[in-house]
Amino acid sequence: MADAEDLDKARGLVSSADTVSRAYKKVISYIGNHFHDGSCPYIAGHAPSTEATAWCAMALRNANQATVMGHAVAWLVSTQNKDGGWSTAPGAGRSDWTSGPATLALRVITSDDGDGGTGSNSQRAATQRSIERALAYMFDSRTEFYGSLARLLLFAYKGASGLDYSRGWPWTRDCYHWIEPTVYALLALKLPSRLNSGLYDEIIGRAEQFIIENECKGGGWNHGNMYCLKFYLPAFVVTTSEALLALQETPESVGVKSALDFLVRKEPTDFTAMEYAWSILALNAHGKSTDKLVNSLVSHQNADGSFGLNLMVTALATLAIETAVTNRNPLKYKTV
Amino acid sequence: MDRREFLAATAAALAASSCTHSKSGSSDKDSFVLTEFTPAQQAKRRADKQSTVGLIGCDSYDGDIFAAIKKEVESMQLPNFRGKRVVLKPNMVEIEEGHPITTNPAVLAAAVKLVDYLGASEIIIAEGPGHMRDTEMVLARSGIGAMVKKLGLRFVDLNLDDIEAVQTPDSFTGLHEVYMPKTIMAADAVVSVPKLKTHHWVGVTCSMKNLFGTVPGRKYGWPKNLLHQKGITKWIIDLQHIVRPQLAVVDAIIAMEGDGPINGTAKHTGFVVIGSDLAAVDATCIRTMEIAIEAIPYMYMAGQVVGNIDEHAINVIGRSIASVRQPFVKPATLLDPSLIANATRQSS
Repeated sequence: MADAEDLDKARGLVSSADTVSRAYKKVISYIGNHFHDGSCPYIAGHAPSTEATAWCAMALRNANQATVMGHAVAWLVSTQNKDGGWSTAPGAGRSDWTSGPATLALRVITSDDGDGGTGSNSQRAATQRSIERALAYMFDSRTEFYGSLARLLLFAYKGASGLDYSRGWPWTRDCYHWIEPTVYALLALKLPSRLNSGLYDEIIGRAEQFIIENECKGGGWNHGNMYCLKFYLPAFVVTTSEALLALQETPESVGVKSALDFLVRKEPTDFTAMEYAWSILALNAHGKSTDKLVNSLVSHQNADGSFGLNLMVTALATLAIETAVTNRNPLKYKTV
Repeated sequence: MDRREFLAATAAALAASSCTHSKSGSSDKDSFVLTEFTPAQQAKRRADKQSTVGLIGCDSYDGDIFAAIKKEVESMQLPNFRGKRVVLKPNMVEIEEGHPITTNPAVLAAAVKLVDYLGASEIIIAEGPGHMRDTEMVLARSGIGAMVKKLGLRFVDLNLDDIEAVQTPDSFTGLHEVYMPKTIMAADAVVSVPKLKTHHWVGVTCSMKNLFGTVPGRKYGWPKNLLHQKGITKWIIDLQHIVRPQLAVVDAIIAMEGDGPINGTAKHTGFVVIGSDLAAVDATCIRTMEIAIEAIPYMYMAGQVVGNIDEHAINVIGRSIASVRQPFVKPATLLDPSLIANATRQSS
């Protein structure tokens, strides 16, 4: 065993705890340096991005950067649309899928566990109202599969069970539901703790069912099209990992087990930073060892501390490394 | 049929017909109902003059593709890019091992040399992969990332680029405003560099359909579902008027047949197609596949408001269509169009 580890070290596949810790500090510093007026772009030097801001704020929430996070919370609250959702950037049209990550970030970093809940009472109250409006938007923006007349007839014929079909969230309102926006919405409803009420139970249950029903043959998920025009389509690492994060409360289901097998089967030697980050977060949430994956991810870090040009990916990598540094997975449900 | 059965049947039928969301394909009516065009719309097309399309024989990706192209450049009526910022848009929709999904880097490199030869002062490679958020992964596994680095070019991820609201001329989809990447809208010229493939929703994907990758995922998602719901066929046409591509360089050295654009199989075709009228380029490519242009609804629309699709209006230089023509295995939806309608109803 020791020999194998030495061999891995020689190949650069094993990092010491110190190396991981240094990588964590470096990436935290990198992200902190890219916050301007409470927001982050996807690519340095570009205009602010709602999603990048949300993930970057999440990445900093554990790193004593309360001021930066306070500004990020204020930015998110101030850029919320009238309908309670967010657009990909301020002023970029109707609310869209980035409402999921924005809601998630606000809930997590202003929770009792987060360090970003600083600010005056009135600021806290404004943030709480923002979260409530965001949750109302999440409820309204789910994919509605049938038109109103069809729903009426289904209700007339089948009663309440006629409307009991699975559905998730779309990328843009009034479109079909897909895996990734559904995952972001589910994380927003379940983190830092699950919203408990009959209504949310129903919404969450149907969204989880939508994910389960769309698992690819052979395990795992793609963007949400497991079968199309007579052909089965393959799963992807990123979307499989994201779906596994959403399905933490059903660890024993056949779909989850086969998806975990799919991830473990994948040869991770040439994963990208995004693939490493999502798979670390997902496998860790399901109790799997991720030490080697963390070390491989760290080996992808650039000299400036980033994990590529996309700040959202760098933020995800930070959350993944955090699981090793703090023994705490920020995307793990408390109930598991 | 008693009242209960009648109600059940009605409910099912209405549920199906009012099912508002097709998954990734166009609505069935969009695929098969041909749009009427106003004279003003038709006047915008360039069909009054003959289009020239270069059909350049290139047996493999290992040869000097640009050298083969250069022999025909003078007779191809290509645009003058002198002093212009030109964006080349390859197809990097998704990666699956064993499937020729993406534009081969060798063809993209040849297109870069061509654009440079035509005088461009700045060349940018830009794409917004349609199915995968991990652009870095697609760049690495397609080989395009290494090629871009080797040539010292800048790559812009159109899914993450800053965006701006753009008015849609004519708007056949009914979407009068769309958000587009600033890199595309600020370009002096856009060059479509697609892979020739069959396509299960629209029959064939080539230089016009390739422009779907200019639509930003950060706004419309992965896949860009809103555009599909508004009608792939109409969106293909609207995008020509928004992006206004000036040139196409098609990778048809190894094409895809069968269940394209992802799941199909490789077909050695051995040529590259070049032209400044993208409707004419696509029409020429489709003729080499032994697929009827009439089976592709967006080609009909393109012939009305984009460019020439009539064989007599296209001057093909280099190889002849007859010399490279070979039958492609058609996607199941071209053989049985009812599959699309059924898929829409089932939302599968």
